[in-house]
Formats: sequence, C-alpha cells, structure tokens
Amino acid sequence: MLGNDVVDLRDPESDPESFRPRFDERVFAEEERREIAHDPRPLARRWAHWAAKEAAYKLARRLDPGFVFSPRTLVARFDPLSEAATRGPGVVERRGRLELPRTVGPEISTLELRSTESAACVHVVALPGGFDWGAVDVGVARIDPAREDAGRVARALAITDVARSLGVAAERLAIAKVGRVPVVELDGERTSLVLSLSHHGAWVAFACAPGPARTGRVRGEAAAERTPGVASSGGWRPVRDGPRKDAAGGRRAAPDWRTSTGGTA
Amino acid sequence: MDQSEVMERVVKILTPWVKDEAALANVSMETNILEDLKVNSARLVDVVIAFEDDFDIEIADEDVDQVNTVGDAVNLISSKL
Ligand SMILES: CC(C)(COP(=O)(O)OP(=O)(O)OC[C@H]1O[C@@H](n2cnc3c(N)ncnc32)[C@H](O)[C@@H]1OP(=O)(O)O)[C@@H](O)C(=O)NCCC(=O)NCCS
Repeated sequence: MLGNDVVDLRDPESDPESFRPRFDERVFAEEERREIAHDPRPLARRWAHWAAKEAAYKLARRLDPGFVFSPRTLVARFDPLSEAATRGPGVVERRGRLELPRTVGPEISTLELRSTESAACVHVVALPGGFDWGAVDVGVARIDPAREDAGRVARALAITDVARSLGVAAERLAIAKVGRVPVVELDGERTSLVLSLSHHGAWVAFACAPGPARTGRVRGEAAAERTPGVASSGGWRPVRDGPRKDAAGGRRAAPDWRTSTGGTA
Repeated sequence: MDQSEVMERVVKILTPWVKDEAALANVSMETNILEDLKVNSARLVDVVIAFEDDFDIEIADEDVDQVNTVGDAVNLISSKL
C-alpha cells in the first residue's frame, strides 16, 4: 500500500500569499507551522507537509473508504535535512513519519515519508512503516499543462516505467480505475501492484509497489462490474491508457527524475 | 437565501480557481469540483474557508468529505443557513 503527491512550487497557486489567512491554521498542526517558519526552504517545506497529508490520505482511503481527509490531524514529522540527503544538483530528500489518527487496513498506523524536493517541485511518497523502499518504483516528470492532459501523462509515465521494472512490454499493461483509485492491469487482468498517481501544475508523478496478493474484492468495490467498458457506480470505468505514443511521447519515455528509493528496475 | 442565490455565490467563489473554462461555462449542480472544474485539493480547503467567511457558517472536514459536486456544496451550505 502507498500514496504519493506532487506539488509544483512555481505554480502561482503555490504562493502562500494566495491563500486565506486561516488556511495554515486549518491545514497544519502548530508544530508543522513552526517547522515551516524555521526551515531554510520554507516553500518546499510547507508543500512537503501538505503533500505528505495527501499521500497519507490516498494510502489510508484505499484501505478504509470511511477515512476522512482532516489535514490538521495528519501531522508530518520530517528529520532535519543533512548533506547526505542530497540526491543530485539542487535536489534533496527529506525523510519523515506520519502517525495516522487511527489504524487502517492490516494494523497500519505509522507511515514513513520521503519527500524529494527541487526548486521546482516537491514529491512525497508515503509507505507503511517497515515497508521495503527498494521495492518502490517512482517517476516524476515535467509537462506542458497547456498542451498535455496531466492525468493521461501521469498514467503513461507509470506504464512505461512499471513495464520496464517488470520486464514486460508496455503494451501489455493498462491502468483502469476503481472509483477514483487507479489499478494496474497486465494482459487485461488486475495485478496486485499498488499505484498512486498525482499531478499539479507542470508536474506529474507516480509511485508503484507490489501489494499483497489479491484474495478478493477491495472493500467498497462494486461487485462483478469487471467487464471492461461497462460503466457502473463505483465500478470499472473504461479508462484505459496504453503507453504514451503521441509526438512528445519519446521525450517522456524516461521521467525527469527516476528517483527514489531504489526502484525495482 | 434561496438555492439559486447560494449557487451563484458558490460559483463566484470557485471561479478564480477553475482550470477548465468550458466546464465553468456549463456549470450545473452536477458539476464535479475537483474532476470537472479541476480545482486543486489545497485550493478546495481555501474555498471551504471562503464559504465559511462568505456565508458565516462552519464547515467540518467530515462535511467537506461528502462534497464532490457544486450541488453538494450548495446543499451543504443551504443546510447550515
Ligand atoms: C484524492 C485527492 C487527495 C487527490 O488530490 P488532488 O490534489 O486533487 O490530485 P492529485 O493529482 O494529487 O491526485 C489525483 C489522483 O489521485 C488518485 N486518486 C483519486 N482519489 C483517490 C483516492 N480516494 N485514493 C487514492 N487515490 C486517489 C487518482 O489517480 C487521481 O488521478 P486522476 O485525477 O488523473 O484520476 C483529493 O481529490 C481529495 O479527495 N481530497 C479530499 C477532500 C478534500 O480536499 N477535503 C478538504 C478538507 S478541508
């Protein structure tokens, strides 16, 4: 299980001044507000906390459809940045934790966080504590939001990368949706891979990891509406994307960052 | 305040943050705020604060969780007036 979230730091909407004065109080716990104010990179720090909350929510909501997004209760705690945290020119990684306000799924309450940050964007991945980060595939890419459909590019990026990691042809993979949650299919069959997608401004991102073997239906998933192309409330929608093939596709065959965490490739 | 007036004020608050102009031009009670209007989720929190200030009401996170469409927002606000 995992969740991810990307924030475009250069998007005008990321300017803290564009928010109402009560936003910070509603969203960030007092200790988070303090950490943001004292951080040498306050903008990245602020959005790392936000992205951690969103990533945690995406993870928790998959396991518990009744989990409410109550941002101030999802408190991210990051370690201080150190030299060792540098991932390349201008890119740093913060590590942290987030305690969920209640246990979800199979006894998950503590999440580990990794926030990869440049001057342009912040990308946070949340995993259950103790999960193998080396098994997580992560990609972050810049797009032209005026010309490209961010959701589509995020899915194509994930397909290309996950196919490479699995050693299969990208044409064999597809991404479908259960409700709003993306799932990975191989040769038309749902896999146990857990995929999280995110897009904001000029950035798209995904994180993908092996999940538990599927033994049944996901809670909240509609029964038997598995037939591709048959829409049903909460069931499968005909949202299928093969690997990206448009003119700019070659450019995105490799993500701008193939970060993280090891990856499975 | 009648529902059409609430709707008008809701749309006015959302308008600066809408990314899909066509969806805004055809806005209805069924329009999805995140998926159709493409308002981002951080901005949604800000919009909720704007609803609170503008209508002088309080909206809990649990209430926001039930809001997907413009109509959900209008009904929620109307129920608190
Ligand atoms: C799910 C949510 C966190 C997504 O955040 P976002 O900033 O709008 O969008 P992102 O680009 O980061 O993520 C979108 C992707 O997340 C995935 N997603 C959507 N809902 C999801 C869920 N419940 N669980 C896991 N993943 C989900 C989808 O893949 C989606 O991609 P798509 O839009 O191309 O289909 C957000 O839509 C949401 O529901 N927030 C909670 C409600 C809220 O904001 N309340 C305010 C409280 S005051």
